[in-house]
Amino acid sequence: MKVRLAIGILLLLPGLCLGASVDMPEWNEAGEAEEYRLGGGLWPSGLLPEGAEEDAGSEGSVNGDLTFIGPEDSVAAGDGDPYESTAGSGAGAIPGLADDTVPEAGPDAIAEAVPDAEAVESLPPIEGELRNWYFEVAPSDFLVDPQRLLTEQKSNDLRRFLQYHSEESKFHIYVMVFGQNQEIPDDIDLESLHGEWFGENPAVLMSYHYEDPENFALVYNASVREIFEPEVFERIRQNCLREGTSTENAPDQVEEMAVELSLQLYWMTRLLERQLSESGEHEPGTAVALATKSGVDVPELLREDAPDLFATTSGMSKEEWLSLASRWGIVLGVLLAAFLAMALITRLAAWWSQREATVGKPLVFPDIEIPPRLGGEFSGGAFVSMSFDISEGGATAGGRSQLGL
Amino acid sequence: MKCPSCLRPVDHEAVSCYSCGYSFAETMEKFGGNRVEMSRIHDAAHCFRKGELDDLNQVLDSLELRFPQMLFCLYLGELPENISMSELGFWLLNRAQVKGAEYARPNDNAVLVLMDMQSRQVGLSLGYLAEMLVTEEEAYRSLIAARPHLVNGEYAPAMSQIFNRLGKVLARKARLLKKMPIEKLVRERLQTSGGRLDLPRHHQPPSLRTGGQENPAAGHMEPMSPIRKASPQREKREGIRFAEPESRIALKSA
Repeated sequence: MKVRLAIGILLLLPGLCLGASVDMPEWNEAGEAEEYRLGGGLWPSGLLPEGAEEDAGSEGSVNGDLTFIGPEDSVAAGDGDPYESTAGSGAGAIPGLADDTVPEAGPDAIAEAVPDAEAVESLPPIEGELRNWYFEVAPSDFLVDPQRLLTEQKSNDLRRFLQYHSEESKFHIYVMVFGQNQEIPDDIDLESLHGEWFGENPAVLMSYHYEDPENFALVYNASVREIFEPEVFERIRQNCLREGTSTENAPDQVEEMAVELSLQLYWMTRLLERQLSESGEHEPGTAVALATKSGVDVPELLREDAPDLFATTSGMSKEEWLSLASRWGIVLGVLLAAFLAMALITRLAAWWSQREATVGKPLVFPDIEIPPRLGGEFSGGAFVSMSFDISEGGATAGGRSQLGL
Repeated sequence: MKCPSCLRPVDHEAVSCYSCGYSFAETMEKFGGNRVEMSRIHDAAHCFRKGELDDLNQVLDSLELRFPQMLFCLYLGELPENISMSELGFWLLNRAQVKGAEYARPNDNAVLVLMDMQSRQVGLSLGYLAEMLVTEEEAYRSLIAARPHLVNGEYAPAMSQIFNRLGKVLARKARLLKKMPIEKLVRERLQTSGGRLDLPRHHQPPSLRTGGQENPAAGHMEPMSPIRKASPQREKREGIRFAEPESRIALKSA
């Protein structure tokens, strides 16, 4: 029975294999294909060349013939170099692109042929109300950014830093932020404006153009400008510029420049105070001679010529080192003396406690007559004893065996 | 104060023990009534070497220089079982003559250290003056201080330790006696030992006497009735005054 069943299965198996087939997808007819619009209808119609929409739904595209969607003459029916065709005729240029902007034929022709449309709306010139916001009145805040070019977070950070600097330094820093392409009006003179706003109050006005750190300016008080040579300010400017160009992020640029300016102003203030205190009144050129050595930063310069200014910084003068060493020496000496005294006292106490009780002057007891006891002439039998037997059968260790007193 | 034989408390002026009747006569019957001579360091057990003896002699010399009245001596031996150290100390202090001891160092000023190598015990016998200066507690502390040496068999250092501790005690008492009379010290000593040891009362009835001065050193030593306790309140209530014993009067006059 089983043999017959197996033979039957073997005979039916080839027939079943031949009858089997795989379901394959069937291609739709051309007329039944869905029409797709280039860009899904999201692209503005002006950006699409004329007839592109119609070509997108034409039979050719469905049949597999590649059709270039773009200027009509940009591609010559699939043969030829598209770059050459683009550069060759002006009729097929991209709408909105002027003929004179079309570059010459070359590998970079397409990239350069991208329309020069402004991705970011250009900032308006500083006129009218915007001008008033900048230059109408003296700034009440250390950061003047009416156009909100800086981020809110960075503005708060910078404003907080400038506030901190103003509390620690005599020179206040005012930062004015302009757009990259904005120009300060010609009739605005920052120096005169500085004198008008701050007068003799030491302040530095820094103008910064967005993402253009090289186009920044520092305006000092007239009295300060008289004391120092222009090289001093130029070096400060270079230091600020160096810090500003160290990063490409505009908010970071202005922050770095403000921090560097704060440092430079600190050293300039120290040098100015020292110069004024020594001479009684400032002598133009004296401090400048100290501060204008080319190629040397202000802190390094001060470290050489005015070492006492660095009392609280990283370096210490020789006298201070000696003073500190003497103080530590005194402290260590006192500690050592105390230690020696304690050791001596301890040693004396040990000697006193361990010294022989027999040392000293003779001690005489007063005579006294004591009645005899138990018939003893010299002793009444007073007795105290102790066992030092530690064996099991011995007396209790340390116990008093007899007390005869 | 206790009896050297039965270790029962006895009065400071008892002729014999109230419990066992022990007295020095019995001691003489046991050990002999003759006087004997002993060395300052009498090493009958032969425990010390020459160097140890020299060191110990140096300690005793220093003590004798420090305390010109006191006699410091030492006896080491192996005692038979029927001889107790307390009885031996009692007999030695009353019958032994220490070689080299000056006349100024009578035996009642003696501090005798005894050590029995047989029973491994160390004891301290004191003369009359020495027992007034060295209390029981101080004597016991002196012995305890030397116990580590004794356990290790270092007998000479142990003896040195004991004598040095006793020297400190005596020096302290000497400084104390500069500030207070010795009578007061003796009174305190007797009161302390009596109160601590709970001495029995005298059976002799008190002799009645009117007037006179009250003996400040009375207290438990005052002769009194075994039933009715003498006290200042009783004297005031009954209008009588208890008589002082003859020895107290002599002590007071001294």
